[in-house]
Amino acid sequence: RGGLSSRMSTVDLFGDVEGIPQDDGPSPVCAIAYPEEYRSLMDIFRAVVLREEKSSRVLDLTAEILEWNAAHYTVWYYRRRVMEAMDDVEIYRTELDYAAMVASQNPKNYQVWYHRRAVLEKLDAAGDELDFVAEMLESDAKNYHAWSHRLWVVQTFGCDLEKELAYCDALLDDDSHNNSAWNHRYNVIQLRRKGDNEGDNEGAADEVEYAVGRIYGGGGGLRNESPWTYALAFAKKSKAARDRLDEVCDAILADAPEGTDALLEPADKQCARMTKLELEARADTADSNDRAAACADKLANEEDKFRRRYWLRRAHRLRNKARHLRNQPPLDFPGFPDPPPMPWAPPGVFPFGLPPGMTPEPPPTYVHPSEPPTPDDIRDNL
Amino acid sequence: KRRMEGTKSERDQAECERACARQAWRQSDPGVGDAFASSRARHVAYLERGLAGLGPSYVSLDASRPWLCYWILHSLHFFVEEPSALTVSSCVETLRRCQNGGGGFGGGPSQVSHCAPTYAAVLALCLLGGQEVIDREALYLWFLSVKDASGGFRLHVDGEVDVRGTYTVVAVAALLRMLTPALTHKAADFVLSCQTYEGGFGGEPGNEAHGGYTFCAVAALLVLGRAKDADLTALERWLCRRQLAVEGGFQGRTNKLVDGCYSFWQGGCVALVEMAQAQEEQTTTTGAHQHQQQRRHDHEEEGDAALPPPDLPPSPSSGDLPCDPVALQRYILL
Repeated sequence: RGGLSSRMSTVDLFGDVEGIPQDDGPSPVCAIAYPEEYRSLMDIFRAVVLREEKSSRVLDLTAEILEWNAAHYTVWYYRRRVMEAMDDVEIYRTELDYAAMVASQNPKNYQVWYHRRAVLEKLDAAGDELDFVAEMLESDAKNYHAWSHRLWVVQTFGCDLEKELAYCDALLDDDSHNNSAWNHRYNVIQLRRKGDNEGDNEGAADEVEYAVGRIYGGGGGLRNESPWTYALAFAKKSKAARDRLDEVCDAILADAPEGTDALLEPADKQCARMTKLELEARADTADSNDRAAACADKLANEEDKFRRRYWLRRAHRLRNKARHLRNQPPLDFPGFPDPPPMPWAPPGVFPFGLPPGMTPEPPPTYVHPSEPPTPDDIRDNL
Repeated sequence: KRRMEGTKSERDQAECERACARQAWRQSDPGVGDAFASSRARHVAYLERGLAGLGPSYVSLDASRPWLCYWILHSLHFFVEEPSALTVSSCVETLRRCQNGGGGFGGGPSQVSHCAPTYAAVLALCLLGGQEVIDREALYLWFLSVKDASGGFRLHVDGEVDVRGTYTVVAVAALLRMLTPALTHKAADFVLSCQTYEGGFGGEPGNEAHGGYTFCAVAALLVLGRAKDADLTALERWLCRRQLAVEGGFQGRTNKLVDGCYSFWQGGCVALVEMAQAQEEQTTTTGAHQHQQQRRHDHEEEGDAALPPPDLPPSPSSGDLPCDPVALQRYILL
């Protein structure tokens, strides 16, 4: 518990202070049945704030309360005021250990991460912060706060960007579907390019190649959206990047993925088709928009049927762009297709009424399967 | 098949899909009778119990009591349950005690003001018809005090800056007719800088595209009249890709699992994007002139004159959405 006083003696420590009860009014709503200890601590806290006490016993008090409720932002806020008043750099240093303990118990808590930033700003040094974030990411490789903090540290204090790329690389070796790692890589590459005075785009083709390596890297690579979106971003930045990505799309869509004889299913082509669509749309000629629309049709009808509503409207809009470029008037969107027929549901399941096509009684032809459908069955029958 | 192997992301995803497929299968079994029948009466009773009081485990939400109030009242509103006069006054009095003299609302009595409970408290008070409780002048000054140089807003004094701050402030300010150039200065630019290469928005510039932050960003841009300056094509694609075929619900980020909360953040955002596209069409027909006016307002440093209320297109019906609203409904009820 970070070497702080035990629970009972914190209340004793403040024996001289008369607690102030919470002013909730005579008939509060959403009143919480506070545990007695928490209530006592909060009574003391209110008194301490009123008399503006900023001593070291208040650090103990705030730590105690935060164990009950790490999201009590007012208590964090006051803790920082106390630290400011005590004005001792050692307190800021040990605070990082304290915050690390709280973060490991409450990894998705906003306040503890902001508190770390505030402390680091005071210390004006990153210390071992990247190691700390790496530890947190070991428990949860996608922790949003951890990644956000990592980016802030890198931007605020700088770091060895090559090492940072190597770190992302290692995480992607563990799990190429870690979208947070892809996002961080994007940021680091951008930071690295800022270091070059020129807006040179040579690195863009390298980044496409990196993504392609993960796409072809085995397992579910073709269906992993992360490297595809990443590559699409860099395809904007140079012709070489764009051409390479285009080549990769064409190979997969022609059932000839590089370096493998795997037989491709429609779902394997989904990402390649989406990417090809965007590349054609970006070219923004009449013909390329029509080709993009043809990609959207394929997705709607075969490769991404669940999203047919979106793809059909996208196709429509792309065709209108082509028409516009040919000086033809746009056509109206005919409307989304009707939803597919659904199994039945008893009336109570949908309290606001059954969705269209669903019946309150099973139709005479309905046969309830003896086993649940597998996810692949569901996908195949969309 | 190869679903049993693969990366951790793939294994987690496969497990989630199997669980959802199983539950959907159970619910469509004619033999189960009313076992899965949710009932309006049961939901309403649950909500009213929450309003009456919460157990000790809720101590972790002690800094969010206006939220609890708002979520419950808003849900009761959808069930067309009018709270009694006694409930109304109890709610209003509770929220009044969360308001601070310096403006804004905290998560409970004697808690410093914070944008999120401020948003919740103001919306709850509007639902209750108790908005005269709000100290508008103090609130406006407090909003100015959390305005950040980036154009965004801190969630509280000496607190974090992210798009939640921008959304909660501009939404409340617009609602209370106090959205001014001083508040909107660079706000839209900050939000726009949070759109990532994926098309969604992160909490801060550079952060991963995420459903909760995307909702806040798009809603804020709509209020500010600047949604057309986002890459709506990329946003719409990212959003629709976040609804997953087997589960029917939405994931919050690429390659993560579906969660009920994203039915609102992502699903709701699909409707917002429709509105943004309609707003874009409005500008095209009424001219670039008004858009320029808006941008000029955003960049004026001074200016405490309230801007006109945002010109919002009507919200679309679910039949007009490019995602699959029926699959989403089924997921919610799993």
